[in-house]
Amino acid sequence: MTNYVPFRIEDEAQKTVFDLTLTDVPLPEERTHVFTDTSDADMPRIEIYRVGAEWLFLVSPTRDAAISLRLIVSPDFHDARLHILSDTRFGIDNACMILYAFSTALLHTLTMHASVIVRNERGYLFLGKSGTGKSTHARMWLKAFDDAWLLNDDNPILRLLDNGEVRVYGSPWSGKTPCYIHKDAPVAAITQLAQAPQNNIRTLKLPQAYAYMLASVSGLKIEPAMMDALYDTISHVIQSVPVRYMECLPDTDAAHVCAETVL
Amino acid sequence: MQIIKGFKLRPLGDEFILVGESIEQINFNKMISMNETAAFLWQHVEDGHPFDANELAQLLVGEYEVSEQQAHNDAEQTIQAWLSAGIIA
Repeated sequence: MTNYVPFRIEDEAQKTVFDLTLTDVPLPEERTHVFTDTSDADMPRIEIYRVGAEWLFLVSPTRDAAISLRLIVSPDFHDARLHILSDTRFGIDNACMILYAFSTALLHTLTMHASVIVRNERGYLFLGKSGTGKSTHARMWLKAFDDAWLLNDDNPILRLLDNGEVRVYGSPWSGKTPCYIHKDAPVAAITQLAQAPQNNIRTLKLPQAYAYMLASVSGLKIEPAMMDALYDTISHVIQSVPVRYMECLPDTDAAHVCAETVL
Repeated sequence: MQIIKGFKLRPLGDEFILVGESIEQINFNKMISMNETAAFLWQHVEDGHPFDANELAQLLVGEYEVSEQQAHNDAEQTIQAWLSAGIIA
């Protein structure tokens, strides 16, 4: 699990975001199905249940795969017990990401589904469903600009600081690209990508910007306190940072258009 | 008319959006944007009481400087838009 090493902290007295214990978790017989997230065939399938006041998550790596982990989580998302049935790496990464996303949502923090390039010490996030070419577009920036580097290729963290600044951070989760960088940068722009036969970019109005952001953020839609917090963070972010919609080809010209268009 | 349960009205700058945030609307993947007038009307009916175009028209007349006829047309249009968006029934 070398992806966590860059993020290790020495001060063990610091307050934790969550505590995770690896243990045996028998499948609770008394469980109430809340919903199953199967929005995307290539994304993990998450079944969510209530067991008393606690949450139970059953996760498979893809929609049709067998369940690979059982995760029992306290109502506040701080304490959890994880039972891995198969694929240890997937199990730990997925459980940590769920716990991190849900327990920091109340702290003006968004666990995003995005690729991030840093250039001139400013972060550029690329959003889009799996397969739209976020990673490809990020590669085009690396090809087009000598001073561009990849901060994260799948799950960066976005924070709204108390002073109103929006910053993007690397994380131990980066999809298929091993890119685990403990660095951060102020956000220059957020760009929703769509494949097209030409390159062209425009600014999104607030409702559309909100919709694309919400679709790219990890959260539990049925948890009112979490949705209030995500709304609060996202609405501030999209009113402080440009959110654009870009139709693009997989070429370096797309990187130039995205980087050099000031809207 | 009556609202369908499970939507939340959220202010966004000068506008509003209606988002499906609940177990009832877990598969509602649209987001409805509303101007201030539509949001004003929605806030009056979001408690779930049955309403009709007359009630909305009276709200508009009380809040804005519009004729009865104009208010009635706007109320009818709003109801049609909400029906086709699937947020009232």
